[in-house]
Amino acid sequence: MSAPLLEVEGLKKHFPVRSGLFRKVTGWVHAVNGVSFTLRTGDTLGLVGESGCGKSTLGRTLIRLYEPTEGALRFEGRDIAKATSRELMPVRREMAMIFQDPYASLNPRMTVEDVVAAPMRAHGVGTTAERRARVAELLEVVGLRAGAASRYPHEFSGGQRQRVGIARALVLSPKLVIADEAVSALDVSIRAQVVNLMMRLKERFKLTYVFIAHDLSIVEYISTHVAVMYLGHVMEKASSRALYTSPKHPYTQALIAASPTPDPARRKEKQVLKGEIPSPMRPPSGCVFHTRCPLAEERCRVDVPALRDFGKPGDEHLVACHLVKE
Amino acid sequence: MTGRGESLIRKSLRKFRRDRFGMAGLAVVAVFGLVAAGVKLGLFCTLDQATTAVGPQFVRPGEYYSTIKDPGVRARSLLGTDIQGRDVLTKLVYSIKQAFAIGLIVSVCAVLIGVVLGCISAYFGGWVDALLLWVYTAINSVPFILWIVSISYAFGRGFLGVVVALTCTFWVGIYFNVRAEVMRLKEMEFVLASESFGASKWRIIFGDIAPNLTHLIFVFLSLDFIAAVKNEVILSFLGLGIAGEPSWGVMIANARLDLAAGKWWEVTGATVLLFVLVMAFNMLTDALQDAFDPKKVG
Repeated sequence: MSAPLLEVEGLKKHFPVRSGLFRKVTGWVHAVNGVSFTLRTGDTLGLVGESGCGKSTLGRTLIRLYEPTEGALRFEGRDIAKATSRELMPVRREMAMIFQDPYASLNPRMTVEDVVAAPMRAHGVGTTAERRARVAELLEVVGLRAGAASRYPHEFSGGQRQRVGIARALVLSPKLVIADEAVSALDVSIRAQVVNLMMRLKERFKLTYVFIAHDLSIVEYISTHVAVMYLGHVMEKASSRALYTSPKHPYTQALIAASPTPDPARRKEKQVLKGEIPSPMRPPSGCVFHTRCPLAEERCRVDVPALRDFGKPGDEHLVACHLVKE
Repeated sequence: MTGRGESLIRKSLRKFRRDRFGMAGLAVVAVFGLVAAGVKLGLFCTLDQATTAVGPQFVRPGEYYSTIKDPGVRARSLLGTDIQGRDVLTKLVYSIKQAFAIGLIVSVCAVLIGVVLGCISAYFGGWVDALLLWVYTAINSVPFILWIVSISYAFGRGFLGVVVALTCTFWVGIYFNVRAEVMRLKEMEFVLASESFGASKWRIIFGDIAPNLTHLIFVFLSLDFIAAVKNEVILSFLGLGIAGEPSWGVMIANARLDLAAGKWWEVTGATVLLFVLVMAFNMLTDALQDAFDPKKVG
């Protein structure tokens, strides 16, 4: 086991809700509400959950697009939770993000070369010629032709654009890459190609991924570890294998049961969750899942369950549920 | 997939070139523009020629008259003379320069102010946004014509007063539209991407966001050009605009009483030129809007 690259402790991100003439804060959206985990170099952590569970907000907070409301965020041992934008500059070279929408994530007025070289310009890396060479090198790495550099994003397909986005993320040789629904917007046929590309790049550049997605099968394929989120909380976190073969949390079980699987042996009785995700402005008391949980008891309504380890030694399996027994 | 790619601007221009109405509008505007530039360079007529009498008053269009300089010489007046014996055609041509000068200066200044403040307001938000929005609301809550009247009173009658008055009232509309567009753009993932690798705020505003405003900038430049030309006429008609020099507004204001006496040519000349220029510009604006709006580029 290698040293932790990213440590997250009790991370919270709340957004103010303002209304009225004087824009008074009338409430808070508890988008991320106390998330803790450790990410080691070489891991791929899959973050899954329904829309609105806070996984994208978590990803954006990890890369400090948002400032955390509370909690610690340590990158290679340095706490960057409250770092100023100047203090963040060296850290920003080590982290990069791949975005969801290949049509919105590339500036339509820039050539591919300008898009990919933008992080180098922002950090004052290299001369114009060096940047051009680096862009050419990366375009080849992600599988685009050299002629692509002088073209504009609208001349490419979704899959090609996503490759440009990946090239941009890698241009400063980061250690951590956060992929926010990086393949969700792509055609199914392109999705596998891009996921395979990302896995090859991981090997080649020794990357560590946080892979945010709602597609369970892709997350299973790419991740070494998976965390299941619900209403800003991590419900269960385990190695990918353990989580998919023996999910312990009722929510994880429901998610896995609901996702289509081509393997009839793994098909279980469909257990469809009732109701909607409660509003993150007024999260339920106790276990946030109790309003929809088929097994909920009285104490689930009162006590917040802590993440407890049910795994074998060396194979952590964390579950936040009162009802899970050894 | 070889060679240089085609930028959105070039693609838009290609689309614009196919628009016949747009091209016709552009041609008319170009002719007016060339004449204006010519007058500025002293090619067609000077201010002196436009303000001195050449013959008797109210010579009808197409009639011959004996010139003041040399009473023995007979000259033909194309568009007649006004109440003081000045040549109407010369005044009209000179006024084209006035219209273009006011239109260009006002539209460029208003767009610059509106775009820069709109970007800053939307991107930074917070108290900067609140303050600028307050200024916007304050200016907007007073009837437009009152602002123009009071500002041009404060600056005195004349060219400068008109330019300042129109710029001060025009930028707010641009500001508000740009602000709304930047609010939308700053949540786009390409802006988040720039933030994620640590690009500076100014680089994001003027490098990432502003280039995506070109369609608004083009449209507002042409809309405000027309608005400035029309408002100059209104202000001059009300006696608040240009003084001591001819302009279409001044001509219409001075000749409106002559109209009742059957002397129609001065008012008609100024009105027709104003109409043709405004019409051509409207066609041009429509075509620009179609060609440059990113939602319509295809």
